[in-house]
Amino acid sequence: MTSEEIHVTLYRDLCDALGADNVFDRSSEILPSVEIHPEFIRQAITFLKVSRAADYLDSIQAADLLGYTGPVSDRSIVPWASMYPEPHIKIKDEAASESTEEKIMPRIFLMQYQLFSFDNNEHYILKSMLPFENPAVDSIDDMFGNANWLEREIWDLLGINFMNSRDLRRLLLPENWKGHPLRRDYVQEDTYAGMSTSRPSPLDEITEAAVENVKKWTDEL
Amino acid sequence: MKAAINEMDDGLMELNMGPQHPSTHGVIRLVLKVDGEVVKSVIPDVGYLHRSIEKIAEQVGYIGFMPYTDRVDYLSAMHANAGYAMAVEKLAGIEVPRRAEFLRVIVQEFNRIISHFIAIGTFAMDMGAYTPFVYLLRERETINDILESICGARLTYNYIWIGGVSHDLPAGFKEQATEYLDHFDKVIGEFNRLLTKNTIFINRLAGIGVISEQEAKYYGLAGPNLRASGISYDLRRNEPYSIYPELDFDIPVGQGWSGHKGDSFDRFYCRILEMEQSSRILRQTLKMLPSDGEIRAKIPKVFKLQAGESVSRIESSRGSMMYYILADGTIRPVRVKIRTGSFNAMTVLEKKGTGMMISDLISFFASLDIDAPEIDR
Amino acid sequence: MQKDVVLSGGFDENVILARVDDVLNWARENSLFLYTFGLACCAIELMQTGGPRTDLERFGMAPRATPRQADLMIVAGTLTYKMAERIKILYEQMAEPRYVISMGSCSNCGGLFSGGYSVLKGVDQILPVDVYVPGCPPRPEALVDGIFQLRKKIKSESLLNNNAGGGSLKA
Repeated sequence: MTSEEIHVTLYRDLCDALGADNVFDRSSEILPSVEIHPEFIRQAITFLKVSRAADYLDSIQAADLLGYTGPVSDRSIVPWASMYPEPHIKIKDEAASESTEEKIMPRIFLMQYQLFSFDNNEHYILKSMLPFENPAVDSIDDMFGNANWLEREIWDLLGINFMNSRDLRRLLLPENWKGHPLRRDYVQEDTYAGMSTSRPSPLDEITEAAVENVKKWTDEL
Repeated sequence: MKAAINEMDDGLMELNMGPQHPSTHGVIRLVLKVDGEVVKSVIPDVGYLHRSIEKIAEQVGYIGFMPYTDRVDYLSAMHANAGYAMAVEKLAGIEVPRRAEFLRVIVQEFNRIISHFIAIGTFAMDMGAYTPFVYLLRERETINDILESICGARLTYNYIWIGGVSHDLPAGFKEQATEYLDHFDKVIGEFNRLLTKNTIFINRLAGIGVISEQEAKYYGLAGPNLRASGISYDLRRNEPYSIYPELDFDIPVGQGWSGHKGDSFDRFYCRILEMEQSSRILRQTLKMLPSDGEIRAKIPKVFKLQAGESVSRIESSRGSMMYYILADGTIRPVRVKIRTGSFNAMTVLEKKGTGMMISDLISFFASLDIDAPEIDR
Repeated sequence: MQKDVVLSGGFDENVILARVDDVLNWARENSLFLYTFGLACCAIELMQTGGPRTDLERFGMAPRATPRQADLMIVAGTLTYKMAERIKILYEQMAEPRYVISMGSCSNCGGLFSGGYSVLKGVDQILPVDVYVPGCPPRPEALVDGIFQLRKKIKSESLLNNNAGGGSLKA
C-alpha cells in the first residue's frame, strides 16, 4: 500500500476510535499524515500500538512555525480551530495609495510522531499543532524506551513541555543555559560563563573595505 | 568531597567516566555509581559535542548545508550526504542519473567498510588488544587513498551533491579497487584468526548485554544492533532505494554464535559479516557500472524547494538515519531534523548497564558502536 | 686484580661540551608525550597520524590518556561551551612546561560552526596556544609540520631561566 492509502485507512480508524472532531485528514499532502487534537495524542498512539502493532518509535520531531505559510499554518480548517488565537490582520503600507491587508497566521509549534510496525511493514506519521502560549503535550515515555530522550531534546531546544514525564531536563545544552535556541526569535547573550560568544573575523575588515570600494566606484560612474 | 557525601548516603562511589576518556567513542560522559567493581547505576550525560547543526541549516540554505551533513557522522560521511540529498531530491522531484547512482553506492559501501574498521578496531582496543587496531589503520589508509582519488578529501568528503555526485572516477579506478578488494578478503581472514576465534576475546564478550527482540524494538535500536538481536530488517532490502534492488547480497542476522543471541559478540560478528557483504556488493557494482553517462542532474543556480515536507531514510553504518526537511518555498529550510541510530542506542544504557562490572560495561558500550556527533549533532 | 676501564682516545672523542639549556631542550623536544584531546573529526586524523603510515611514535611522542603524564595537548575538534569548562581544569592538571597545539579550524577560530550558538569560537579564548594547524581536517603531514614548528620553538627556550612552556593561563 502506498503511504497515502495507509493514512487514509488510518484516518478512518482513528475517527471511529477518537471521534471525527479530533482527527483531521492530511493524507493527500506531499508527506501523507494524520493530524490529531493535541490532547488526544496519547490515545492515538495507544490505538496504533494496539491495532496496528506499531511497537517501534522512529522519531519525535518539532518545529517552530513562526513566519511559515504552508498547508499546516491555516488553523481555521481543523475541527478544533477554537483552540488557537485568531489570525492577525495587518494593514501593509499605510502611506501608499492602496493599502493591502495581510493575514498573519498565529504562531504554532509543529509536533510530529513517526511510528513503525514490523508486522505490517508500514510507517505512520501523526501530527499535531500546539499554540505558542504554553505548549504542552502528554508524555509517552512509559510506552517506548527511547521516548524520554527524544522528548528531553525537544524540551531543551524548543521549550515544549511534556506532562507526566518521568524526567524532563536539558539534554544537549548546559544546565544553566537560558532560552530555547531552536525557536525562530532566539537571541544569544554576549557571554556565557565568562567566555565571549562571538569572535571578530579578519574577513570583516576586508568585506567592509570591499563594500566601500564598490560604493566609491559606482558613485564615480 | 562529593564522593565522601555519597559514601555516607548509600555506600556507593560516584565515578566519572568521561568526557575525556580513551575508552568512550567521542566525548560522552557516563556517571557511574559503583559498589566495588559492580555498577549500580549508569546515567549518561551528553551534549559535549552539540554544534547546533540543525540551527545552522536555517542560515546557510539547501546547497550550503551539504558539508555540515559530513560532520553529523564523520565516520560514515557518505551515508549522511546521501540521506540529505535523497530528502531534497524527493521534494524537488529531481531524478538522479544512473551512473551517479552507481557511483553513490560504490562510495557508500567503501565508507561502510572503513566505518566498521573503526568500530571493531576501537572495540578490540578497549578490550586491550592493540594490534588489530593498528592493522586496521593501515587498511584504512589504503581506502582513504582510493576515496581521495575520487573526491579529494580523506574524511569529510562532501562528494554526494544534490542531483548526483560532484566528480567522476579517475582513470584506472576499477583496477585499483578490484586489487584492493582481493587483498581485503585476505585481511578479513587474518582478522578472524586474530580476534574472532580468540578464546579470550570470546570470553570477554559472550553473554554481555543481551538484548532480546522485544527490547530491541522497545528501545528503537537500528542497524547492526537490531539485526544482532534476531530481527532481519535492513533498509536496503526492506525499503530499497537507489539501485539496491538490482544487487544481490545477504543480511547477516544474529544467531547466538557464542551461546546467547543478542549479546556483544553477536553485534561484533554481524559487523564483520556486513563488511564481507559490502565487498560482494562492490564487486557487482564495479562490473555493472555504465561506461558513460551524466554524473549530475541539472539544478537551478538559485535553488528553492516548494512548500512541504520530506522524509528520507538511509541505511548508514550505525543504523537507519532519517532526514526530515520542512520547506517553505524559499532558499532556506525552516527545519531540518536528523534522527540517527546512535541516539536511540544510548537509551539502552541506563537500564541494561546496571549490575555489570565496569569492564563488562565497557564491552557493552563499545559493542553498540556509538558515535558522539550522531547523538549531539 | 681488577683492571679499571680506561677510555681510549682523548678528550675530544669522548666528551661533548654543550650548554645545559641545549641538552635539556634536545631531551624535551624528542620525547613530547601527547595528551590526545580528540573531540570530533580531527580526532580521527590524529589517530591516523599515530597509525602506521605517518607514525608519531618515531618522533618519541607516546600518547598518554592522563594529563598528569603529558607535555603536549593537541586540541583536535570543536569546542563547545559545555566542554570548555572541563578543558580548563584538565589544562591546569598538566605539569609545566606544557604546550598546546590547536588542530583544525574549529579549534582555531570556530571554523564552519561560527554561526552556532553552542560553539566556542576558538580555543585561544581560554588557553594559550603555541601552534595553530589549519585544515578541516588537517592531513597527517600537516599536523606533523605543526609539531615540527613546535620543536623549533622549544629549541629556542631556556628551561633554567623559567622561560619554557606555554604562556600563562588567561584568568
